[in-house]
Amino acid sequence: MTTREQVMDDYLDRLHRSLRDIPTSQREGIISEIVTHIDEALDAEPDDSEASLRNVLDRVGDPDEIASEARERLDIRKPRTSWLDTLAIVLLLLGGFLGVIGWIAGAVLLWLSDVWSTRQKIIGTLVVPGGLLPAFLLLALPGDTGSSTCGPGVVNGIKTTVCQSTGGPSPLAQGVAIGLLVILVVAPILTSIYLGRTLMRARRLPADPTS
Amino acid sequence: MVAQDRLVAQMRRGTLEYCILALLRKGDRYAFDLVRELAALDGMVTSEGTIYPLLSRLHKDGQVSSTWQESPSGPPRRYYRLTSKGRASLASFSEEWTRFRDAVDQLVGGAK
Repeated sequence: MTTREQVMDDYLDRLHRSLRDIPTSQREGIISEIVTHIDEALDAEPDDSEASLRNVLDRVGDPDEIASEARERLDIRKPRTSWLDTLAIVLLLLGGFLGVIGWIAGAVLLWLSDVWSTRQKIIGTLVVPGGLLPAFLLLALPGDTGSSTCGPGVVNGIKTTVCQSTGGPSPLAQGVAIGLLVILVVAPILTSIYLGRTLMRARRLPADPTS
Repeated sequence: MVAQDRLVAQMRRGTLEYCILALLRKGDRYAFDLVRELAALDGMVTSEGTIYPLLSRLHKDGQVSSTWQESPSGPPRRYYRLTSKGRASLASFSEEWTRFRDAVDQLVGGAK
């Protein structure tokens, strides 16, 4: 890669990063227009040296400046963040172990927060209700040694009757159980990371110029 | 002096969108052309890239519309056009602006 390509790539990287919190529909449009603008400006330059490119990029402006202009023009304000947002993530993941009320408290904090979008709040609530508790309950199910047992059990947080036939669980049933367990452990952790990243990004945003 | 610089910057910021609408009054323009013309106006914009978020908002507001047109050289270009909403908004600003300018001129105009 030539230095010139490197300079261009760095600029576009910074532009994408700076505009990250602009809604996708508008961000894509703004970036593609700026890229077109740069191409046209380069065509108007006398040569294709690195110096010409740097001049063009200087005139287009600093990505952070473009981003702050975008936030202001598109009326995107910095969300209010507080320690309650962190608590929401912790309770959603682990609150189930304090009793169902712990997880519910996390969900309430999630929905009251200013940080996450409605879509993110739905994901946070549904993946997985109870956080890591369902995985724990699945592990705690009594193992089957071969006799036929029927009794109350909990699968995926729902009370139900669990029956198992004689001869022990089939390899298929075991495979399904292990797969389910992995999903129940991994999914809520991924959700926490996802919500946490949005929260960290919101904390890093520059303060509202109007407030 | 800092407060005054900020005031001037705010006045430019506030009037920039009407300058865009006014440039489109004469006919459709493509973005690059529009941006270069605005940037050429003395002190109107600090950097060319900052105009695109504003164009995006005017588009979302329905004050301008856009169409793609083939260009004689290179890829197709996005042309912007003033909508009737944009025209109305420009007309009402222009009236306010004239009143404001006249009033300030009357008091400050001869103060050199």
